[in-house]
Amino acid sequence: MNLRSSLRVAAAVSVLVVGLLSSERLLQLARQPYAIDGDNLYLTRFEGVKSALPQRGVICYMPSPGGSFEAKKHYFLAQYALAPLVLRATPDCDPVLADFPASAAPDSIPGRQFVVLKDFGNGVMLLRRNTGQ
Amino acid sequence: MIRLVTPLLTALALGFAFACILWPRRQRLLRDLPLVIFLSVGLGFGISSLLFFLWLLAFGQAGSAFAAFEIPFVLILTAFALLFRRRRARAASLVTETVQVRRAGSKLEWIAAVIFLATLLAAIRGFMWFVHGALNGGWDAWGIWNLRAKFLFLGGSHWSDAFSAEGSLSHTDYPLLIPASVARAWSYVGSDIPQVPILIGALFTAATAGLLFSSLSTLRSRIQGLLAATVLLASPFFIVLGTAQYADVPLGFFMLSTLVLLCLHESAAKEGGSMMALAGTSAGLAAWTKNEGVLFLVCLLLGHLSLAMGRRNLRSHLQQLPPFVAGLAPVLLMVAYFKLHFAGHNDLFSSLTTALKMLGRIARWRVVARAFADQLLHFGGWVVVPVTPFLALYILLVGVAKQMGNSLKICLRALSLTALGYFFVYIVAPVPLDWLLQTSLNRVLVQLWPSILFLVFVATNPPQGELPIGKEAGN
Repeated sequence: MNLRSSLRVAAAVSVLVVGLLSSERLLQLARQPYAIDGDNLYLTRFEGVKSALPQRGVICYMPSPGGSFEAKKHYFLAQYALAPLVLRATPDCDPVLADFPASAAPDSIPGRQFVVLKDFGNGVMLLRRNTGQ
Repeated sequence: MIRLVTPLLTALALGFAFACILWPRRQRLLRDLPLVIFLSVGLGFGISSLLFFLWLLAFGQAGSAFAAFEIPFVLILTAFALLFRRRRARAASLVTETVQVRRAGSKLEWIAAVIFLATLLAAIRGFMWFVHGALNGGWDAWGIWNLRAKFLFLGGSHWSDAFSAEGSLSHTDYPLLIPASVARAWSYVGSDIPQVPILIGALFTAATAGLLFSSLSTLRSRIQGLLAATVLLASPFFIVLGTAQYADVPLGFFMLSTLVLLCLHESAAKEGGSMMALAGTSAGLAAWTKNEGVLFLVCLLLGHLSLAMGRRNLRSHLQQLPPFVAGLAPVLLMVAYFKLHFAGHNDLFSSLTTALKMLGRIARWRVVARAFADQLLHFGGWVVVPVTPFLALYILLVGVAKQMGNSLKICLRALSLTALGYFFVYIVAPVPLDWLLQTSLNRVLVQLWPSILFLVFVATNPPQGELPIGKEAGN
């Protein structure tokens, strides 16, 4: 085997070794305990409210998802949990789905503007706008 | 379990029947079986998703009736494809078989095979670990792809609410291969279980690696197939993205399969244009998977035309296009119908004026160029040592193959133009640039990664010595 062919083989082996090192790291990661599936836990919060909602159409959602990364994420998770219902991201129709996970206290809902129809626990509530009627 | 496996097997059978009918008659199907099976995964999911979308358009809603239609249809088509294949094989039996050069497996090939196997096992283990951490996939899975699938499956006659402007549904212009594939399988199962998108993601991830290995083994040598597949499976972000249930890995599959079929067409040029027809279908399915697939398709046609322009035999060069267009047109018509009747606006391109304004901002060019350059070293999430310098060294040492066919030149141009297109999309997109680069650049590069690896290994000499491109190593 001449120098040129030895170099070629060495080049191929080096690519394989780099691949092997990366795989070994992947394997190391996979030996750790499974991470908690936070998204799945979030989705299960909406199981109870499903039966109280129409099967299709549009309902309103609060808080506004425009506020933060977390709020946006929570809105899309709620939308996924409740599809094929469409969640309008402003509380200007009835019913309003209030989604306040542990960090945000439900008492932040302005009491005069909404009436709680049902509290499903875990920060999920069904509201109606208080029109004074 | 049977209900879960049936839609996947039906899709595979549909893709297999389609490939069987179009596979050139002189190519031995049995020898090419791994290649055909891996191609069938993408073709099957692609065609069955189109059938499902047509069903929704025709009958207004998904349901168990679709499975009752599709299963007998696929069975009949598969039987027809096998009979058709057998008759054509008999007719072609007098044709002399290509002489194959058999090579004993070298030591290097054995080493490569063992390392590939270790990488494969690590990839499977890693895949399962990531899936356990996010059963419903990543943000885009529940925010776009599987969300749309839920509307198609659970929406009944209101399935088109998936594109409603009432809510804050995002990217309603994205095409439907993945959502329709997931909804189709859910309609077989009768429930929107998370296992369906996980399995579809796993199949596309495995089929991409399998297609890379089998195509390079056919076109070049087994060792090159093993090297390429090892690098792909050892790319951590490729595995992560496979588990995320996004459309990037499937799009990468269709880009790769299009390039593979173009190269196979050249190596079997006397067999007519059936490979080109398959390549056309595959390119169309790329456009049915993600908007970037439309860009890829345009770049592919530009690559073809640019090569034809500089040649005297322009006419014979352009004669290759009709079978490609024949395979492409039905899929493209469906994509166009979807875009015209259902798709919302594209958030990356608002108007020509805005695009031109963005083009004039030099700072954006600098930021995008820096981000692309950064990915040269850090792409793929390689944690120990980045692979790209080693690939560059590999190309330098083994050398580029002397004979480079037209197909390979078209593939190189198409892929380079697509990368350039991505670069310009970042420049003109009217959204915060840092956020866009941070959330998407590594993903769009994963779309190109299998095709880049294919081109690297198909265009270079094998480590054991020179072998002309397209010659069968007989491995």
